Amino acid sequence: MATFEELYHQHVQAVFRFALSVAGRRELAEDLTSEAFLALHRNLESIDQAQLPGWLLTVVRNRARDWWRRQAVEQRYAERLVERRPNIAAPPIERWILESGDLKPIHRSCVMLRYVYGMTRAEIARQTGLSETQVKGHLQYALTLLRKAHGVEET
Amino acid sequence: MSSHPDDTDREEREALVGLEQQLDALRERHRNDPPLQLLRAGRADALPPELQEAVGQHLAESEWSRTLVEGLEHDEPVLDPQAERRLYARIDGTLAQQRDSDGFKVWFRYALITPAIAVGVLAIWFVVYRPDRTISQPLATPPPVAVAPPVVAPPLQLAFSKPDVRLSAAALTWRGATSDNQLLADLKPAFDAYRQNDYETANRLLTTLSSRYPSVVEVHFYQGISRLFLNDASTAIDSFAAAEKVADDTFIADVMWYRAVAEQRAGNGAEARARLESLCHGSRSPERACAALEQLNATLGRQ
Repeated sequence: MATFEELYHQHVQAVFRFALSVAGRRELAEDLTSEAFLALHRNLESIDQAQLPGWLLTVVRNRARDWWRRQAVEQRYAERLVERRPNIAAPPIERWILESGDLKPIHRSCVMLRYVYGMTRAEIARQTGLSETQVKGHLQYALTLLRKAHGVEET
Repeated sequence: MSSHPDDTDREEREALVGLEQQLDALRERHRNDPPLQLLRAGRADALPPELQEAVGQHLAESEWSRTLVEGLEHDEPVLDPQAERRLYARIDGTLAQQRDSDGFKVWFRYALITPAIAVGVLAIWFVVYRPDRTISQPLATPPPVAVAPPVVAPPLQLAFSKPDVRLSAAALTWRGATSDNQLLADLKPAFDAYRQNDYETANRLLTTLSSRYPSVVEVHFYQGISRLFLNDASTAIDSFAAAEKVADDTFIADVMWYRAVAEQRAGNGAEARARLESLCHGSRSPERACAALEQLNATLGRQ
């Protein structure tokens, strides 16, 4: 039977990655991860360790729901969701971003966040958990393909 | 949605020349999409039900939003070793705080419970000894203060003193078929005999009670003490063995101590030593056991 510290090192990457995906911010993801492992410590004697990391992810998910419930913005977002989407036809670049076989999923997301959602590289790095250098590399690769696809001359 | 992030460099601007209109259309088209954080939480089914339903529906309908969040799911390490250690230190610190807090709560609970038990003991003493009590026999005069009997231990025997009668919380709150505490009524004659150093009677009465109250530690414990005073160490061991099985925290150290005495007197040095070592290194009042252990070792050293 593994000790608490062993379980922590075994599962923390998966738990934190999931927490980051549901929280979007490292500080909040650390809070959720911390709460999950504290819950594990409280239940260490009774829990079946074969259920990990699923059990930990469930704790994170439930804590994230609680966090969203506390957000005053929740209702506002919900109302915005039912607004009609702007009736604007998809430009060709949208299909290219979604369908280009040369792009990996992470490339597509970086391009979207950078050029549609206007995020800085640092903001993308925080969202993805990647380093800024990795983000820059993904963007450069995607940009090169974009230029080729749209007939822009290499400088 | 801004058209150019603050850290856009020249290479990027040049690469995007001719695409501004399309990008502007894209931004306008997805202006009302849920924020990224909501999309990611919705993808993980981590939103409250109403919000989850709305975001889930959007994700089902929007290939764009699905592609966006799916691309963010990767297997790259998201915590470097330093951050991993820092987070563990944070969790460990919280656990340490909780342990301290729990320790204080236990101490505080004992601080509250101890006076309550004392009041309970006084109340029972008053009920048992109150002057107007109708009883068939007059109550015995207050027993003499328990004085350590003249158990002058021979060279290879551990000395022991007579413990006063005390009751566990379980006995004080014992309830049988009736609302009265029959246990205390049944124990009283045996304890009276014990207090008056009539160990023969105490042993006889407690032996009778041991089959009726097998889970009451007081029965076995004071039976064992009585047998020790009757110089019957081997049957005292049986009593203490039964007491060990049912003793709570308030009795276990005393049971172990007197059993160690009985074992030593019965010639079972290893059994005695094991209990003394446990008490010397693990109990809250180890002085008596440590001194006995030292005495035992010194005696063995001389042999």
